[in-house]
Amino acid sequence: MSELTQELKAKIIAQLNLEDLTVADLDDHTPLFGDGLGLDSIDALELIVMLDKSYGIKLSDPKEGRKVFETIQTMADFIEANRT
Amino acid sequence: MEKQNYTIRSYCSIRDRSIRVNGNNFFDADPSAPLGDFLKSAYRKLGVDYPKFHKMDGLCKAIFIAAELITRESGPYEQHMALLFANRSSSYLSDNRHANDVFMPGNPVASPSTFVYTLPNIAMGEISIRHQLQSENVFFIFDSYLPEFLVPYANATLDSQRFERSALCGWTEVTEETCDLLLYRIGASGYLPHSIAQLERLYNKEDE
Repeated sequence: MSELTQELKAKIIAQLNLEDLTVADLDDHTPLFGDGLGLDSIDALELIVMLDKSYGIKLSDPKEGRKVFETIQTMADFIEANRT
Repeated sequence: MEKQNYTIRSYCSIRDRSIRVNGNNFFDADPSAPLGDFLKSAYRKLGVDYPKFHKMDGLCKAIFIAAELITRESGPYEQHMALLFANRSSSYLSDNRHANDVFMPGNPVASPSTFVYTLPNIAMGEISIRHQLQSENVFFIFDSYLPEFLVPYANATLDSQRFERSALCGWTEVTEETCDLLLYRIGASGYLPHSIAQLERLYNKEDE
């Protein structure tokens, strides 16, 4: 799981152009939205695309996304449970 | 409609890997430096903390930097300042990137963060968010820099008295590796005449 969280951090930094951050700056439990990383709605769409492209997971229910994208850890848990 | 004589309060040019504000050098880089690296270095030199800059396309980044430098020179922007921009290639950089995404075989979904920049006026939205502007704006597409159009258009816009008699105007042509930008702020208390001849001189750097 730790390997997956590290991989996710690197992908998020690259995909969302978080230039000023490194993998070491991201905590597994830091909120991705709101007061945490401060991601916005376009970033959320980009994360949905990333789940599809990198892990073959399609998020069809927007309500589901709110829980999935809470933190790096919740994303990793969701990927572990659903990846194809 | 009351007609006034408007003046240029401040201006910024970005061309040939050089950024100048009111004719003074702000940042230079090697002419062979990639445009993306040049704009990123200029952003670092600005010393602002605005992570969204890194998500913008080249057009937005160049306009963001120029708008930042102009407000530093001439004070905070008026909330209802008009935005009147023009260029030749519109948002072609992002349009092309998005088209490549869409038509790439085996690509399930195009990137939303590329798609959002497939209109040139998004750049005006970005600086409106940054400077909390609630003004109206227009983005023209011309073959070339055209002060003969922009000067009377800006004067008529400000004479309408809907925009606190202040506007940020200019030419913002950005391609994959070139940037040809002149942004200028006009109002009642500037130091250069807002005229076609003056803007030709500023564009051709004849006043420097």
